[in-house]
Order: sequence, then structure tokens, then C-alpha cells
Amino acid sequence: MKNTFKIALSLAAAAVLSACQTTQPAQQTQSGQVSNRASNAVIAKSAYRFEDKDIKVPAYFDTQGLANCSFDRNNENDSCPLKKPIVRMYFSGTDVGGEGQGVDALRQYDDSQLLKMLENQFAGINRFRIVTRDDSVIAEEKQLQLEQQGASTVARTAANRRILQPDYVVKLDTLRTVKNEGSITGWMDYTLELTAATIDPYTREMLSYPNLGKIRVKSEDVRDRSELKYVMANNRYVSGYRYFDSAHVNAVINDMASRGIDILLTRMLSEMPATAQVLGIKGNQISLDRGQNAGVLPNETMIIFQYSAGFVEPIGVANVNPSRNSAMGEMTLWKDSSLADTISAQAQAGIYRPTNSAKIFAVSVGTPANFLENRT
Amino acid sequence: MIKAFGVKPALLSVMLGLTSTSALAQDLNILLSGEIQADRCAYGRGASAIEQAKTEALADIARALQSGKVLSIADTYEEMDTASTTWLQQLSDMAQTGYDLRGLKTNTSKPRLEGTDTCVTVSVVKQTLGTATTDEGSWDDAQTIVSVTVVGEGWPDSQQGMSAREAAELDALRRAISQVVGVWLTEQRTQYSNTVSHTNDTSDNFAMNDFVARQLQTKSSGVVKQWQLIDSKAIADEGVQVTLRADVEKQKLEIATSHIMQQIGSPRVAVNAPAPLDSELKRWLSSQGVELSENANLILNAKPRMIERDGTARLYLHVEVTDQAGNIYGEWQNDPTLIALPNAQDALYDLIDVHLSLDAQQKALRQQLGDAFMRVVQEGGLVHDVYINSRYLAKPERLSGVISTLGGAQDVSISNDGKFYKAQLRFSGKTGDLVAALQQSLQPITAAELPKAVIANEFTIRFN
Repeated sequence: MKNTFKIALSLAAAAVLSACQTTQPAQQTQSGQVSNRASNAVIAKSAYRFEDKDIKVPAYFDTQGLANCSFDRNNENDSCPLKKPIVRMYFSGTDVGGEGQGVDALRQYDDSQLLKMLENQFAGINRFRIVTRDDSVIAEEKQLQLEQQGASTVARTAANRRILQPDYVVKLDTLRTVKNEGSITGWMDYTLELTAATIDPYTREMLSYPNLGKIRVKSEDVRDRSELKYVMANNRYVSGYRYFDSAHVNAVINDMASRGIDILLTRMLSEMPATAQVLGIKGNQISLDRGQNAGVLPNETMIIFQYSAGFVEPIGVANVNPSRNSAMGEMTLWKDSSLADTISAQAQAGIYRPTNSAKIFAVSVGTPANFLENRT
Repeated sequence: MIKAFGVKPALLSVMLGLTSTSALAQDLNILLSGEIQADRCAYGRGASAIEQAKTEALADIARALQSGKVLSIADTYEEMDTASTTWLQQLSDMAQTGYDLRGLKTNTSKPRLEGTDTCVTVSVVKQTLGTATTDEGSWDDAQTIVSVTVVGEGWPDSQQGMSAREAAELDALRRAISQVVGVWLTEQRTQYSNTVSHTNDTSDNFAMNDFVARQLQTKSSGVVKQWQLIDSKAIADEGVQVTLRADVEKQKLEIATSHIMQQIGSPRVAVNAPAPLDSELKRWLSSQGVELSENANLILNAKPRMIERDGTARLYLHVEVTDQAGNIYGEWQNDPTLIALPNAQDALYDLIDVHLSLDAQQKALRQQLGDAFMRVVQEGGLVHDVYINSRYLAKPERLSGVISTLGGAQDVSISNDGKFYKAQLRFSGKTGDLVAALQQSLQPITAAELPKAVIANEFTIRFN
């Protein structure tokens, strides 16, 4: 009996040892599906709807202070976080190749007006300083000023306020395709793909940041399929959507491009979040050292975190509204952590002022929740 | 020890004009060392906000000092040492008698952000109080003679037939004239602002003084009334260094210098440019005091070019000052990036108007014109062509030598096309003076009496 037990134990030990020696392949990757579905806008959740598990520091936060800033817009220090690159924007219209139904009308699409829309939208989010390419309006205004203010005033002003020299070129490439489906009753199906690049015009280097990826917009995102239906008889157009008429095609493509730009803006706001330093916390109210000047938008959802010895520790989420050069926010939820409790207790008792060794910062989560409703 | 101060009471007291001790006490802090501190905030960020906060803090300190109650503000007055109380008392007394506190040494703290405001603490530290005076010399108008002591150096010049001593004396006299011209030109700067406005830095001033002195010496205008040798010594390479005291006649120098300055400042020019640029340039040149003449030897060549893009136009304008012979004396180019206007019919007029109204461009063009005119005088005047019918000359081989001896003439060259001898020369005087000098000096080499000269234009004289 005793021997039997010993043998059984030895067998069990051998089995355990042999199991330890078995090697399993590491599973670090998985196969993914390449999607050609239309892109969608991703926006921040309202700070009032946050839960404790949501309070995490998003990517691309920046803990640079304003110590290096001269606050002179045209002569800002390179290491100042308020310094924004000066860019000129280009809509690089890609030719539509091939022959077929509706291709000629699609080819005639003029994107010069779209460029102005792009400049307007990008200027508003305050991530870049945009040098407009709208020569005609600028020249017209100077002509009017010449008539109304006189040559010497115009000359003096023009000499003092020179045109900004762009640091980079922001180029948007578009790929437009069309296909038609059906026979007697068919419909047009347009696809617009947008990619953006930031290029140094002198070194020709294409910058890796901000990486906005590719945006795909399909005609079904902006028009009901029935609106793009048409009827053919004997291979000739009879009625319905006028796919050969550039004005009608422009209307569809414009809507698609507009949607594409909106998505682009939301991606830009996620790639380049607004960061600010917290000067003080009083109760649930937080005071930030920068506002509109750093691109903080109204109703911004911002994660508040402490930065100490290279580590970040989230302490809450706030709804922030900017003024010109500062911002005020309301802590809507404190993180359930001992650090947040300590800070919160001190803030409730008076004003909590962060120390130099443990600074507190705020970083935006992405596009403010109501941005798409109010700004696009 | 720095106190935290309320901003609102301070602002209110400023608004109401209240300078009571209690209001001031809230704004100011006086340390045991006698240092006065004021804490103020201003809206905004950056240098302008800091400056504003600093100014307001200084104004607070000044108000407290002028009120004479600064010592009563100090809570620590009883504990202060004598030096600190004396300093505060002295400062307060001086402020009340109108002492400008801006001259005081102040320290400003590192700015800190408070909401939308930027705040600083300014402190006036204990320092020695005193006033600075300046004493600047001036030109004495009552003087008729200016005496200057100068040093000149010279070496033997066999070509000119001058000994080292003569060369040194000439050099010293030129330096004497240059020195006096320099003082006079500085005094007259406003009058000849067109000519000397571009000679603002020191090296340019010396160049201009030296240039005028050389011209005065060449014209033998006798501006040095007398001179006295003080010292003479030999220097290397058989040279001589002399020190002499020269009496320069102020009035003569003034007349002669102003004549040269006028020559530089307003020679006649012809404008060669397409319409409408020619009329615009002529209008501008007239307003700058430049005399215009169709037949002038000096020509202002202007070429406009419109740079068109996307329905807008810019102006590229190139101006060159040349003489009839094609010598270039100066060039100017506008800044085409200044402005773009809609490319309409009158765009060129408007663009010229804008470019010529800009002070910086006007100044640059004026400077180029001034430099060009100066170069003309420097090189010995404008080029003149003298045509003499071959039948009048008995000794044509001596023509070059004779013309070269004319006062004010240089760079003489002679050519012959069979019927006429053409003498080309630079002459710094008037064309009439040149004709008179030619008629007199050519007599020894003529075969027959020269006919009356025909002055075809300002730079062509013909003896047909």
C-alpha cells in the first residue's frame, strides 16, 4: 500500500514536471477585418454623464507650463504651449479617371469653395493659425480701404502687418468614385475618401502628427438612396436623379465633403487635445491658466489629473468653459481614490493650490459633446 | 514678510481719489529693512499685463510717498533701525518736493497668474538718493573763425610734383576743413535733411565730411584763412607728419559747403518711364525737391512690372539712375510683397500710389537718389560731350592735354570721326562755365577763332 502510494506520487510529480516543460505559442496579435464602411464622428461624453471607471487620462496630454511664453502672438517662444503652427491649407483635388455614367459630372466638381469652408472650420478650433488663400476677398478689401482710408494709411498698415509666413502646409487629398447599380431603375453610389497631411514646404517632410487617418463618406450618409434613383429606357435617361448634371452632382458631393470635414475636425480635436494647468480648486470649481488662447472650447469635457514624478493620477472630470486667457470649470465627478478625496477635502475647506512638485493639469477628452450640434 | 493684499479696495480708492492712510495701508507693505512693497494685478497675460500691473504698483508707492504718511503705514516703524527710518523720511520729503520717483531702483517679483489677471509685487529697496545732470556743448554762433589743431601725414608724390611736407600740409588742412564741416553739417542737418538723411551713422558722417572737405579743397575756395605749423617730424618711408593749427573761416565754409550740398541734393534729372509711372514719379520727385528737365544728363529709368495671380496684381518697380553715357549711379527696387490689389484697369495707378506713399520705400528711394547724386559729384561731375569741327584745330594732338588742365574737368577722352573731334569729359560746374573756359583755353591750339558755341543740351557743346 505504502509502495503503491509512492509510485502514484512519483507519477503525479512526473506529470507536473512534464506539464511545466510544455511551450505554448504567445498570442500577441489577432486578425482584424479591413473595413470599407463609412467613417463616423467620435465625440466626448458630457462630463455630467461620466462614471468613475471613465475617468482616465486620454492620449496626447501635455504638461508644459506657460513659464516660457512671451504672450506676444507674433513672436512667441518655440517652447510655449500657446505657440501654434502657421499653416496654409490646400485641397488637392484628385482627378476622377475612367468613363461611364455620371463620371463626367463628377469630374467637373470644383473644390475651391470647399477650401474656404475648410479654412473657416479649422480656424475656429484654434489648433493652427491659418493663412487664408482667399486672395480675391483680401484684394477687394484692400482696394476699398485704399479708397476710404487713403494710400499712405494703407501702405503704412500693410508694411506693419505683413502676411504670415506658413510653417506648414495642411493638404487634404480626396478620392472620388462613383458606381451605378440597377438596370431600368438604377441609382448612383458615390464615395469620397479624405486624407490629410501636414507638410514642411521646405524640407518636404510629411509630419506624422496629427495623424487623422482616412475618412470615408458614402452618398448614402447624406442622401437617401431614393433621392439618387433614376429611370433609363433604351439606354437613355428618362427621369429621376440627374446624375449627368454637374450642379446636382455638386450638391451631393458638397454634402459628403462637408460631412468629411466635420469628422476630420472631431479627429483633430482628439489628436490635439487642449491642455491647461489648474491654478486652484475651490469647492467644485477649478481655475485654469489658459482658455480660448489654448484652444479650450465651450462645454469642454476635461479630465483633471495630478502629474508628479512622471506619473499621472486622474482625480476627476470637469465641465470647462473658457474665457479669453483663462478657463473655469466645474468638477462633475471626483475619482474614487484617496488622492482625489484628500484634494477634494482641502478644496471644500477653502482654496486648494497645487504645489510645484505635484502640479494638476486638465486635458480635454476630444470634441465637446455639443460641438457637432452647434458648430457644424 | 509679504502680505496678501486686496485689489478691490485699492481700485476703489484710486477711483474715488481717496489717499487716506487706511486705504494706502491695504495696498502697501513696508518691511523692517525700509523696503516698500506694493502688490497689483492687471487683466491679461504677458509683457503688457505685467507692465500695467507694475505701473499701477509704482503709482501706489508714489501716492503713498507724496501723501507724506508713509511712515504711519509702516506697522514695524517702532522696530526699524535709524538708517531705514531716515531713508523713508528722506524719500517721503523728496517725493513731496516733486522728486521724480521713476529714477528709483525697483525690484519686480516673478509674475503670477490669478484667473484672468497677472499679478506682480514691486518693491523699492533702500538706495542712495541723488540727481544726475548732463552738460552738452553747442556750436557758438557768434564766432567767425573756428580754430582747430590737426595732424596730417604725407609722402613725396612725383606725379603731382609734391614734396612729403606739402602733401602732409594738404592732408592736415583737409582734415581741418573736414572737422569744421562736420560740426556745421550736424548743426544744419534739418536744412539738408534730404541730402544727409541717409548719413546717420558715424562712418557715413565721416565719409560725408571728408567728401565735402575734398571738394572744398579742389575748388580752392580759401576757407582756411591762415595756419600755423606747430610740429613736424619724419615718419617711415620718407614721410612727414605735421601738426598745425588752422583758422577756418566759418562764413566762407558755410557758403561753399551749402553750394556743394545743393549740388548733391538737387541736380536736374530726366524721367524715363512708361505712363502712368512717369507722371507719378515726376510728381514725387518734385515733392522731394528734385528739379526735372527733359534734357538733363542724369536719367531716372523706371520699369514697372505687374505680377498677376488669381485676379490680383502686385507691382514690381525697378528704378535706375544713369547718365546719357549709360553709367549707373544708383539702383532701387520696391518691395513687391507689400500689397496686392484686384487686377482692374487702374490697378497700376493705385499700386504706384501705395508704394510711393510708404515712408520706408520713400526713404530708400531718396537714399538711392542721394547716393547717386553724391557719386556724380564724387566722380567729378556729369559727363559732357564737346564737338569741335576739325577745321578749327591747328594742333589737335594737344586737345586732350589742354582740356585736362581746365579747372573742374577730368576723365578726358578724345575721338575723331573725320569731320569732328569729340571730347568727352566730366565737369563739376555749370555748362556755361565750361563753354567760357573752353573758348579761352583752346585759343593756343586753334587754327582760326572758334565760333560761338551751340549748347545742344546741358551736356552737349558744339563748335560747328
